[in-house]
Amino acid sequence: MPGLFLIGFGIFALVLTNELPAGSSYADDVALFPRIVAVGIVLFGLILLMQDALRYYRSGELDLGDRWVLRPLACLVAGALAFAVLMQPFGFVATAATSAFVGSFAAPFPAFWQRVAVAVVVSALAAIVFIVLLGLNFPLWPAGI
Amino acid sequence: MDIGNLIYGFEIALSWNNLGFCLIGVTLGTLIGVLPGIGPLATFSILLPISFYLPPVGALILLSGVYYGAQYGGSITSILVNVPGEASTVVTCIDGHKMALQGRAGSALAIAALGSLFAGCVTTLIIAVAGPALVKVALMFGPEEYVALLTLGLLSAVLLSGGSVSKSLGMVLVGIFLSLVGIDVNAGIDRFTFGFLELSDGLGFTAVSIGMFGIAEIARSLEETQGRGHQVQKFSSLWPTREDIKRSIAPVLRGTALGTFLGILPGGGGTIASFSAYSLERQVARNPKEFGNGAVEGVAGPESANNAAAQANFIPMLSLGIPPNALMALMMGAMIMHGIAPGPQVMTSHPDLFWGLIASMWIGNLMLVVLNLPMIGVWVSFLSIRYIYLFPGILVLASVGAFAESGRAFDIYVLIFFAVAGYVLTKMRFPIAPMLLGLVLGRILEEQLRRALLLSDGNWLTFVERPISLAIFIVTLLLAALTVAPSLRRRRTEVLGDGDDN
Repeated sequence: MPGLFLIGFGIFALVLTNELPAGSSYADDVALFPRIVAVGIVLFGLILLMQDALRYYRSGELDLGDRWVLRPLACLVAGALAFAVLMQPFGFVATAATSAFVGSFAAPFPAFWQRVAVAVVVSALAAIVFIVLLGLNFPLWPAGI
Repeated sequence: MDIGNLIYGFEIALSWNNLGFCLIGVTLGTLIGVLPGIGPLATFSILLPISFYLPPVGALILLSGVYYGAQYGGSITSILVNVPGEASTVVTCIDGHKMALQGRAGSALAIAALGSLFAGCVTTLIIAVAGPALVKVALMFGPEEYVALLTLGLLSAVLLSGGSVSKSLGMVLVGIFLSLVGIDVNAGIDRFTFGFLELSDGLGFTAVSIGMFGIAEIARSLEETQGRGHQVQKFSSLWPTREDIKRSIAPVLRGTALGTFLGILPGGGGTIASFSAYSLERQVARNPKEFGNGAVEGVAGPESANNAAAQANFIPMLSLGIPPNALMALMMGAMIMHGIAPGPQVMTSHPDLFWGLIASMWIGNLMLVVLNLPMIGVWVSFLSIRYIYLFPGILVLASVGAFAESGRAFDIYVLIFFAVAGYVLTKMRFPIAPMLLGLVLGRILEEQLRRALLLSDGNWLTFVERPISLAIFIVTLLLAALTVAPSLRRRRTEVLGDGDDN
């Protein structure tokens, strides 16, 4: 798996570098260095693939990586996404609270009210630190308030 | 050493503002060393954009305080809970926690803090001496030497860290490739931007590092711990016995020397220094059987070594502009964000930053002993906080960090992309830190390579025709050859583990 990933990435990178215009001198040859790097990535992918094949041949083990647990990552990503989407229309306080609340589902909380409490505390502390103390130029409340 | 410059540094570091930044930095560092589920890399990436709102010297004093503060904090959890706060304090668990179980936790904590203080002070002096000397050498470097040095830096950072060498080198190259996204400054051509205007300035370094280290690390921590707190070993007296102090003096001296030496080398850091110091102490001990059963030498040596190495890491970063590990790469990122081009010219163009930072390390180490010994009870109470109450705050902090740099939601989408990528890569057991090094150094490497080829009229042999560059390449090859030698490979796996040390 890791070898295939690197080979795939390297080939994709090579295709992208082929679309770049060739320069007339080393100063404007924008494709030279990325191409060397892309070939290197493919090369290390091949080495990894060979190492994996050898291991499989010797012990029958296949490197499939570790088990995925999707819930924590999915909830954290949803929390960050909420931040990106809500910031403009709803302002910092509501956005930070929603982001913390959505993200909190990444872990099992003993009670629902604790999620709400954590979100409220996080939002208040973040507003004090970022807006009041650090003076970040974010709208605190929804547009129109 | 130029005493005048050091005094100037103290004038800068002792200003009320900088003292405040130093205190915040070391407190935050100790806190993240103690708290579960968040390491210095994640904290650094999250603080990076926020530090942009601080004056440059203050920002770097704060970030470096976090860095060496985390080494202190990490040893508290190693000794009291048998859970290493940082990779560099793993070895402290062996004898430190045994001492705690024997009711000598206070002694172990005090020896660790005092040994670290001594190491920190000595290394600060060495930085003040070695930094300017290295700068003089570095000013003679041309593009060929820089290409050679960058190659050595990247390669040795990989070879001296844990995990699979092929995977790490692959990740360095992926990082270098990602660093090339954006407009090429020489030709004015967009590269790999897929039509996104937001990518013209390159991939947001902070968004990438927050995604990979911040969010992906929270996800991994939640998987491993389910957000639980720790059971803490109780202790009473904090003062070490006369016997413990006597037995610690030589290990502290040896650990400081070894840590400083390993910290200066590209790729050397706290982890390799503490493991090497532990094995050195075991070898020179009169009674090696005591090791693993609460030998104070097993705490004093490694703890001094990891702090010495953490601070010696600043030498190549400040004098050559080459970060020896991912944390220093982030530090370099902070300098770039503040419009300071890292490299040997920093000492002359920003003497306030160079000398102020060095002096602040001295002050920071002193603050850490005060924070760690009399206030140990406060840190112990943090140990029992459950991670589930912390991570929603860290998530908001990470999102603010990515958003604050440019005020664009696009950077949060980049963060999300790299959080997922970071998670997937770790599941495939790819180490992430080498990628970050590639991301920071990639553009500089390309620029120097193209400049060298332009000046030599396309002659690739130019890299081996200049003596300094040839010597650096020979060292690089020797290091690579040594690492693949079977006996050393076994030793490397033994010391650094086969796992993925991010």
